[in-house]
Amino acid sequence: MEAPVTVSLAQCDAVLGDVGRNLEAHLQLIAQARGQGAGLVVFPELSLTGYMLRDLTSDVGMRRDDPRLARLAEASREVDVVAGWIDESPEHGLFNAAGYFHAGRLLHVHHKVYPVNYGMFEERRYWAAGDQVAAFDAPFGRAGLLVCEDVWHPSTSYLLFADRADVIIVPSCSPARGVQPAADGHGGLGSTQSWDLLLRQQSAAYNLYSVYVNRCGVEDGTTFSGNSRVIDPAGNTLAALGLAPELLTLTLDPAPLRRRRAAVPLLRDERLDVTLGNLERIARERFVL
Amino acid sequence: MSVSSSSPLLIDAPLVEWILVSFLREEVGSAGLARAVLGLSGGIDSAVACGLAARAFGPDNVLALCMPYRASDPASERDARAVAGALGVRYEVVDITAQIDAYFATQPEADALRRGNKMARERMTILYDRSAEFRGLVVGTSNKTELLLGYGTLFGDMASAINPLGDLYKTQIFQLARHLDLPAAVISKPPSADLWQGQTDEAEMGFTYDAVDRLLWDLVEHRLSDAELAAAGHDAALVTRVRRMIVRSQFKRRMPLIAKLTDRTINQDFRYPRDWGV
Repeated sequence: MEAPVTVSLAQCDAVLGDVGRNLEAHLQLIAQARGQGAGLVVFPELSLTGYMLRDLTSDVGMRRDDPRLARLAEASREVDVVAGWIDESPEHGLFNAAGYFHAGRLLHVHHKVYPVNYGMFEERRYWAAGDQVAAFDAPFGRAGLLVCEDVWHPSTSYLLFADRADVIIVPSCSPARGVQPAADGHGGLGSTQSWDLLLRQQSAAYNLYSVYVNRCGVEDGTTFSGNSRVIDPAGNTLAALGLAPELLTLTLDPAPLRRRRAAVPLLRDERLDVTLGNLERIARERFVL
Repeated sequence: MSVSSSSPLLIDAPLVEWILVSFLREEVGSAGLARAVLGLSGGIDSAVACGLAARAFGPDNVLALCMPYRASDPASERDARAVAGALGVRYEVVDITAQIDAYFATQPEADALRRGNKMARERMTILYDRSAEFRGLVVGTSNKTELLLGYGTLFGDMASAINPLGDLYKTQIFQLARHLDLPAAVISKPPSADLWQGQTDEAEMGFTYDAVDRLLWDLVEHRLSDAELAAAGHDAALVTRVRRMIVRSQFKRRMPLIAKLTDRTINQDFRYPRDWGV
């Protein structure tokens, strides 16, 4: 990690299917984050479109040259922005995308690799699955993007770790479920407790920062659970939000990451050849290639 | 009615209140409105729905209608009035005796079930009529236990624009009622559809809400097999009966079937969110 970065977690609602109104809300929050000294503003999954799109997916899909994305890119001349939308490929594939905008252009795009298709979710019906997980050089160091369910597959964060990510940014639309009181008596959603466990595990195992920005608000009866949070490279929660819309700004410092990697040199000792060789063997044995 | 501290049916009531109040505000707001109309029966479900609506919109933006028939227990109207008074919502009594009796004068052979269903649907038409005048959405009061068992009238008390209670079992409704500090009379009396004096849900159904909720939790939430349910201590006869009730009332939980003819049949391959274009 090369430099500190001041991140604003823009935990917000969205208007379902209305990119224009959501874009205006983004620009307002970006201005507010700049006022708080942010160098990077992170919005939730599908922040420009809303989540429960179903057949609206094809109506809100945007090509990379869409003027609305250009306006977001323009805003990134002052502060970097991570936002989510439906990315329409030249072949008219529709992907759930998260993009990193920097210095007036789209620096990196991640297509959700694991659209969820069980329980209440039916994403694969509407969205194509991405097939690339890659870290990229952001102004502060190596960064990676994962979208919501991607994190439930530890292979994705492993790939970003292997690709030398310092920070994993996770835009999400996680619905609130599980309203039993917690064992410690403090209450809290079952779904949020699962996310906290996953993100702390990811940060502690791979010695990197996790920045999780989740939606709030209600769509079609489902309440999104907010509880956006930042985890440090030792797996400690640095900050966490509640259920309501909020803009939280804090600085990620390279020093704790450097200290942790010196004390627990997991990345140094990681043997990609062992992983790769064994994955090839497993794939050979499980599938006829 | 209370559940033990180790019961999976125990809820974090302040958290549930937060989610349901936010649900009411946002979904009513999605319709461009900020008011609610509901039937207040004097029972615990509608009292909880009314308490949530009062918190979501402010008491003055909630219209609670008590719609008794001449055979209704007078205690029901008294309890409904107490709830409305405690919450400060707008309250009216609309007696449905005249229209019910006028109709059944032509149907003298109608049994108690037909009469009860007709009354429930009569109340529904009044709520929808008054919702247009009041410019509020009709808020539903059916809980998850009765929705699963089919213990409600299709297009009657099951009809609403939005329902904050449909994912809460009956024993969880009691927990929320205590948290919302509703009048004690509503919380302590035995649940009743009040179709005739002295009727109680538990006597009519032949099992307690406590037993059926514990069973539904294992059966619906965890999809346990009959053998697993027996091992967990559930009565085998109750398991059989409840499974049948759930299956036989499935039609009440879905919109009417549409005969498919085109490539974009509504709700089959014409799929849009309910909150479309809001």
